[in-house]
Amino acid sequence: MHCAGGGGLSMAGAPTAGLPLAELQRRFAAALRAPDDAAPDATLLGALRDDGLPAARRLELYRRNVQGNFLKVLALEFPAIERLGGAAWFRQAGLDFLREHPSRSGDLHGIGAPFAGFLQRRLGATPHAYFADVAALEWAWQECLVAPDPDGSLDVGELASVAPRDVGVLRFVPHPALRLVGSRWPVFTIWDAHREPRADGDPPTIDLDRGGECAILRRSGEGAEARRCDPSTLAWLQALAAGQPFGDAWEVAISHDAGFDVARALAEAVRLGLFCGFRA
Amino acid sequence: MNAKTALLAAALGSLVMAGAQAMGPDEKSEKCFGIAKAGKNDCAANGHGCAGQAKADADKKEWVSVPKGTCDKIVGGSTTPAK
Repeated sequence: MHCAGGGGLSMAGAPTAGLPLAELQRRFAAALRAPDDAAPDATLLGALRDDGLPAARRLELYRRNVQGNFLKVLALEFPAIERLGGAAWFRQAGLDFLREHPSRSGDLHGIGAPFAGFLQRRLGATPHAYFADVAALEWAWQECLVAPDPDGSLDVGELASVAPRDVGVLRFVPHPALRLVGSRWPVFTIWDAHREPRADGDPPTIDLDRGGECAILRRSGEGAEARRCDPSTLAWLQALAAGQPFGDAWEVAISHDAGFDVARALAEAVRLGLFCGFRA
Repeated sequence: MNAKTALLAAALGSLVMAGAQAMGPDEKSEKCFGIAKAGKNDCAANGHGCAGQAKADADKKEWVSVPKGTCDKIVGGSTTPAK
């Protein structure tokens, strides 16, 4: 194929109007992320066919659909953040987020993964710094919902075969849907008060300085369940979920709370189905 | 055996003695295929990632969670997805 070289627009009418395909795609993607008041990309418009509607109008429809769908999914994934910040703030923050973190996947569910980090960069130095931790909890909830089912379940009877001297090197396999969240703010209380619309009016006022909270998120039936836990239990579970042996995880837990009751914590973790196997 | 090992072994021992059973997947419900209304499915299936994304009524690959033992009593219901 002969290359026109330089006078690209002289090829208007050809499928890409002389723009290399990669350049056309880059300009098209940029136009889909552009704000409402952005100046139109004349080069791009010159490469688009009118086909009944003017090219600018066709691009506008496409752009609004992409941005509208993105915001709708983001709001489904972060309902508490939307309520905390308000619909107008959430919309603007969501569009800014889209420009920094456009979807990289055919599955729109994945768009929320970098949202907590985005809020941390944007709000970390403000009185709304806790938004990032609430968003991390909301994303953990989303991951918990769609995590795969485990291949098997923990057979408690088989644990009897572990020799006492080997108990310290035992490793538990975390359930794929297990998520652990800790914060220096009362994130669980905030999330719980804002995740659903309230029939009884405004959410209660929550004192941000009432202390940090930790949460365990787990698969329950076909859905997810979140519950508060204490910091030593969170640290213990984080160590086990990271693959640390039972003995090392206990050391981590008692460094948080010398009174950590490992027997009680283990019984509760097994009862909740947080592990799906073990390796001796 | 040092105190730490004894403590951990006791924790494991009491778990085994109690015969604790992991809750695991909910025993009280089952997936029922072929009965979901469009937009009312419970979870990922059929090439989409989320609850509420089924595009047609009674799609044989979409499911909703129902009390265990009830799916087979529902017209069109199946506890296995259509291939």
